[in-house]
This record gives sequence, C-alpha cells and structure tokens, in this order.
Amino acid sequence: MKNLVFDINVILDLWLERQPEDQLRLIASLIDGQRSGLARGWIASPSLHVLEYLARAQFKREGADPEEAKDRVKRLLANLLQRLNPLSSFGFHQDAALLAQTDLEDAQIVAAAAELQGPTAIVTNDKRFDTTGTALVQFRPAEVSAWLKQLPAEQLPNEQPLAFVDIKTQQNAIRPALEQQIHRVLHHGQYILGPEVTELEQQLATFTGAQHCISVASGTEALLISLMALDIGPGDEVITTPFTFVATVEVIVLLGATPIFVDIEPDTANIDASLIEAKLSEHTKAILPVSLYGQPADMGAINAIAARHGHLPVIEDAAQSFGASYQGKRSGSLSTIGCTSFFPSKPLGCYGDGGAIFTSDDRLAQACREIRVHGQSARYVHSRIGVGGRMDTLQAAIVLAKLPRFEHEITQRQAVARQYHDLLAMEEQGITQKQKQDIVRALPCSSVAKPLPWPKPDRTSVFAQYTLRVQDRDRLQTKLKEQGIPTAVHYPVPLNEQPAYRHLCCPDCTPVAQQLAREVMSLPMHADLSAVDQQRIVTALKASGV
Amino acid sequence: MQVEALYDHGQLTFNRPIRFATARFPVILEIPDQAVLAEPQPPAQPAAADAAVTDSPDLLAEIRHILGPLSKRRPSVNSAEDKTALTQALAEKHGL
Repeated sequence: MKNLVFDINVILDLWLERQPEDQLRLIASLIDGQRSGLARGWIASPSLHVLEYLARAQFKREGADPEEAKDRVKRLLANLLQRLNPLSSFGFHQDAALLAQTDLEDAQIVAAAAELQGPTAIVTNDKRFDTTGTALVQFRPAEVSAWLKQLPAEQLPNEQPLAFVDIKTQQNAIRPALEQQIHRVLHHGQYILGPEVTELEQQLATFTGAQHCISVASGTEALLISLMALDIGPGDEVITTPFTFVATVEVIVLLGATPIFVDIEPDTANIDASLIEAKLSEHTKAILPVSLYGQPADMGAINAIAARHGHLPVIEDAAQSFGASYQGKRSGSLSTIGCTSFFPSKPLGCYGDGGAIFTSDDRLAQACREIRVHGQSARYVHSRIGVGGRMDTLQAAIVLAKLPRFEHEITQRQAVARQYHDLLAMEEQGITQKQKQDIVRALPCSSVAKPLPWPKPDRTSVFAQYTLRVQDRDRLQTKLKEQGIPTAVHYPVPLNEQPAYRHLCCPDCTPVAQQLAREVMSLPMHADLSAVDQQRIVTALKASGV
Repeated sequence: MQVEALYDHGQLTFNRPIRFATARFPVILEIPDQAVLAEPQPPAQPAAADAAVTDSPDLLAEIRHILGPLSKRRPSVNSAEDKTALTQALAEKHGL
C-alpha cells in the first residue's frame, strides 16, 4: 500500500473549508483512504502543533471565544489522528533538516516521510518541498488519484524483483506501535527479562490457550530447552521427521539422543502418524512432530499413540504454524509442549531471533524457565544444567507491536493461498478472471506446478510457505528468477541424507520425504502480497514451459 | 481477597508479599479512570488493494459537526498567507 503524507495546507483547506465543495470531498476521501484501503495516510508530528496554532488563530481572528476555539481544534486533531498515523520526527533527523534549503518544518516532514517503506507521496497545495536525495514524490490532492492507480509495473519500466517475504509493508502498518514499544524499552532500560517479556508471555499464553508461555532466544533454543526439561539425553530416542529445518534434529543429537526418522504424508509433508508406532522402542522418550508449511501435523493421532505407549511426551515444532489451529485449538497448545520461532520471516516474527515454549504442565514450565537462565532457580543457585536462552526485551517489544495485526495477517495469508489455488486452477483451465467466481474450488491445478492439497478440514494453516510440487525444479526456479520472482526450497535434502546425520538412518527408508525433497518449491508468500503480483507469479509459472 | 498493588510499565507489584498456590490465574483490577487515556483501538487495516478515490461525506460532516458555529466557507489562501498567520500565532503565544 502506498503512503500519503499530508501537508498542513491540505488539512487546513479541509478544516477551514477554503476550497470548493468537490475539492473538500476529495481531500476528505484521501484522508479516509486508509479505511477504504486506498493508501496509508500520515501526518508528520512537527505539523500537528502548527495545525493547532493556525486553526485557532483563524477562529480567534473571526471573533470566536478562545477557549471554545481551543476545544474544537483539539477535537479536530483527535478526529484527524483517528484517520492518519502520526509520523515521527526523530532527533537524528534534525541536523540534516537544518541544512536543507527549505524551512525547517518542511525539511522535518521530508526527513520523516523518507523513513517510510515503499512509494510515498507528500500531498500538498504548495509544491515547494525539497525531496532531493529521497524517493519521495509530491502531488496536489487532485493529482493523487492517478498516482495511486498506477500499478507498480507502470511506475517502473523493468519489473522490480518481488520479495519472497515482505515485512516492510507490515512495518508501515504498525510503525507507531513499533516506535512506541522500542522507545518504551529504551526508556526503562530493562533489556533482559524486562516487562515486555512478561507481557508478551501472558498475551501469547492467552492466544494459544496454553497455561504457560516461556519466551526464549530462538526457535532452536525452544526445542533444546524443551528436550532438556524432559531430561532427554544419551541413549534416548526421539521420534521425528526427516523433512524439516535442521534445528529440529540438531538439538536431539546435541543432547546425545538419537533421532528416529519416520516418513511423511505426501499431501501435508508432515510426519505420517500411521508409521510412528512401528518405530517406537523401549528407548523412545518423546515424539517431536513438525507442523510444516503452517499446517499442524495430525496431533490427535500422535497424542493418542503417545498416550498408548506410557504417556510419552509430545513436542510440537510449531515454528511455521504459530497461529494455525487443529480441531479448534491453536498450534503450540496441542501437546505436552509446543515450540515456536519468531525468526523475522515467520508468520509472527521479530526483528532478530526469538522463540517461545508453550505448555500447561507447571513442572515443565518451571524447568524451562530455569534452563533458559543457566539452570538458575534463584540468584546464583544453579539447580540444573541450563543455557543462556532468554529472549531479549527489545525483541519481545517488537512482537508485542505485531500482535494486534496478527489475526488480520493470518486471514490475509489464507486469502493469498486461496488466490494462488484459484489462479493455478484458472491457468490450467483457461478460465478468465471474470469467471473466477464460478470456479469450483477443487479444480485440478496446473500440470506445471501442483500445489499441496488445501489443509485438511479439521485444521487451518497460516501458510508460512505456499508450496508446490514441480518437475524440473532447478530450471523452473531459474526461469522465475529471471523474471524477478524469488522461490525457495523447503527442504532440498531430507535430514537423514545430510552428511552430519545420514549415519543415523538408512537413506532410503523415508521414500516420501525423498520424493518431496526433489519436487517442492515455495512461492512468495506474505500477508501483503497483492493480487497483481500473484497474477504475475502464476502467469510466469505457466509461461515457463517447464 | 482484595489487595493493593502498583502498576508500573506493564508490571503489577503487590504492596505486601503474597505466596500463590498457582503461577497463573485470572484477577479483576480496578483501574482509576484518570489513569486510562483511551481504549486501545486495533490498527486500521487495508480493505482492498485496488480501491478507488471516492467521496467521503462522512469525514466532512464530522468536521462540520465538530466546528459547529465556526464552520463556514472561507476564501482560499496561499502558503505564504498561512506562514504569516503562523508567525503571528507563534509570536502571540510567546509574547513577542
């Protein structure tokens, strides 16, 4: 979404009705643009007091009671801030602003606007802003509509590469909250286990329905600490999947235990629960399924197996599925322990490393809390072996700023995935966009690229990845890359075939994982992916001729 | 039981030590009205990427309602006039 930064004179024209009625309506519609999805609107913070002075001065000149004028102008400002986001002018902007050719206030607006991500225009009736050295443009209100309607491809002669994951657009959407959270931490200075950590843990526990949330330094750390809390060590076996990021298995081996690989389902790429019991032994200490691509594994079946075999603990690796649900319960709260990651590209990510452990077992929660702080049960009392595994306060603050938008982003991700499904079906069937409403969801997809089936009816996915099965993947990736479309492979080699792990399992005993590793390819996926970009991706796929 | 506590930047500190039987339980808080600025609002969300500019009579009506008797049609001005008005307003505020 493009950004509009409103200059003072445009707001004053509206408030003081200094333009014809049709112009006033136009300005009002631009200011309301964020509500209608037109553009994200901003007002630079240095403009606010100027607006107040000017409006009050005008009313005072006209003989209004000063107190009444003051009250009404404050209400106007409050009304404005319900529609426009305040845009910060930072201390570090001021030196450069002083050196600008224009006056300080205008230079402050330009400096603040230049911090925004993506196409940004200053809306002004006075084309005087010095935007040299920035990507900013400036328009009169009547010119804005045409600029907003321009598609990215029309603005740029060569199509820009797409982002595989776009967290810059999200940053604009939550910028005021982000700044507030970051500055709150800078102000109180409790960078380790500060109040934001506690607040985040409370909010995440509520979100998942788990009794406890223990934030940790990363998704990997979440898995490691969970296994340590379960006392898993040398001689123990942990049932898991070979088709996952290496962290899942790495932590098992780090603790001296042995991963026992179970093959996956071809339709979900998650561990095949029907194959687990055959791999259980007297040494099995836990089952560690991964909810891959955003869809929970068959946790009901896995929990039932665990219950039948001495109540084995089950640890759900929910690094990709946080926000998804299984039979009405949130991923992360589906088993003994759930672990997630806040890696920046995850559906709920921070701006660095972070993760969390969820459990409703008080004893395990206490163990995890102690292990993440060097096994410390009280100051300098180390009751058990631990690690330095805390999530820092700044990262917790970032996640707190993102949480209010998370449900919206989940819905958007699901809509983007549905759009991919439909577009791929349309490409296959030669169906036009106009006929899309009549599409039966179950239409077969493109022979070039076949998506994994839609999530099963008893669960939802957050589509951390939108993954296809393709033939001749390398060539297809190259062709898409030439057109600025990034792709990724999650994952090219099953872990039981990786050099560091292949001695732990026969390379051919997980044939489905082996097959999927050769075929899977993920397309760009994020909550703000536009319909235009999705069409471009699918058209390029179809045109690839691979 | 009722107990006094101090809220400080997201943390609640009880005025006297209490040992709890469980680590997590719901509580009801009485927060002084003057301590609350406003109910938090969810961030505005984009409705559609390809929306078009349309009239917004609601905002205009809201502004006119807020202004009440101060609402009236005024002649257009240029930015230099706005600057002059600002200078005068600031001078008055700071007694210059």
